[in-house]
Amino acid sequence: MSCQHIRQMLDAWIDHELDDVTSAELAEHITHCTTCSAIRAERLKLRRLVKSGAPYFVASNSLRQSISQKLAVAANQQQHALIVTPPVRLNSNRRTWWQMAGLVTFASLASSALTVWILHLSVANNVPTIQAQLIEQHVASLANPKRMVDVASTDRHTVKPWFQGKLDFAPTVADLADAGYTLLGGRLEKIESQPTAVLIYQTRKHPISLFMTRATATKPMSVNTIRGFSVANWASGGVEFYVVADTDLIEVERLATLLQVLH
Amino acid sequence: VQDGSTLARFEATVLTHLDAAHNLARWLTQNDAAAEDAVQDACMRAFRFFDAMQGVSPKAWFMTIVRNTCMDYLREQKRVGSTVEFDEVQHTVDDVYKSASLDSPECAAIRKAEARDIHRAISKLPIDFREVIVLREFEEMSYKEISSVVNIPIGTVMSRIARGRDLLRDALGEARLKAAS
Repeated sequence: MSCQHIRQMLDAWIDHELDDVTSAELAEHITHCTTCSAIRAERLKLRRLVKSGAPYFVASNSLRQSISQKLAVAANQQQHALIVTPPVRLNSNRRTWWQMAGLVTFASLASSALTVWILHLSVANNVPTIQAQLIEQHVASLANPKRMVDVASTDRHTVKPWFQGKLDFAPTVADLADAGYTLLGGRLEKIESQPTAVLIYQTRKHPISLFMTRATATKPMSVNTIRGFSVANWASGGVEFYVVADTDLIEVERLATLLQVLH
Repeated sequence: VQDGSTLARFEATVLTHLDAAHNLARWLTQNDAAAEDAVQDACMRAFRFFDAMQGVSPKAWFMTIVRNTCMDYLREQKRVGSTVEFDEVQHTVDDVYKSASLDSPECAAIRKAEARDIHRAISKLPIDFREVIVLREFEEMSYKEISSVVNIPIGTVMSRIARGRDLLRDALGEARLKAAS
């Protein structure tokens, strides 16, 4: 074998990727060719340098914890979904409709449980002025399609970066298309002097506004019906959420539960 | 039908490679937050598709998902025009060496400046070479596994590793390689 030929295979050789016969030929050549032998030595040094000198970025404890929590939720969902998961192709990142059906089944089970204790909570409460204000916002934005969204996109990877640098918290921008909620886009509002992210989703022709502002405390979900509008409100992870729509309470609750479960 | 041990099986076969996944994601995205997001997304996808697991090994399968998730992120960054400038990556690299967190025994053995140069040299590699070098040098994956993760023929894996090492050698300079023992 020529030196040039040897050098083409040198890396595969030091990585033990060559068959025995070829390996033996290379070893033979190296013993009497000082140039190729020097190149091999340099390669081994380089490999050692990279291994010992470059950082290895291990996963942080907070990342581990966060993944464990999400997996526990997902595992729970799978157990609640009385549907066998069909084989899915690796490169597909969309859920099949029946996986989604399972998720929605779980979400509605969870939400009906919530309804029981939430309903008697919300009856006792007065209509908070902020919710009335959000309904005004919701209606006003629908009346003027130009005002509805500043960034029009069904892609959360377009909408989320649009908010960068405009808010003092990270808004949740979820892709819920498979659950029947199409993202139409987002805009920025100031509500009670708080910078507020607004996302518009649509389900069966009903637009839904999702308002997000910064929260200092967590708050369990509550739902309300005000003048025929349904409002769900909760706070978690430093963000306060309001879902406003003219659909029935169940619809708003389902979306709210999906958002809670997924994020 | 899902049984209670699915999560346990997932943890034992897939999640055990979480450090490897994070290391790959961090080298590909060159950004802490993006790497964590990508790994988290990849874990959820892997869990969802766990029943459909296939390929050379669980590790290669998981790394494929991590790699694809990172590529989606990088493509998106490019599309919205917020590609991280190379200078920025270099600042990040420099910051790592200012902090004390890297004072592991492995790093103590080598001079900090040298470690920084190696880090820089790898960061500077075009991504096609960087990914195969990371999979080979850190994870010691076989060419066959790398071929399945990156979805390229084994011959291409071979030539990319060789070319990647050539680029690293050029970046580090002969002096550094001669001085290193």
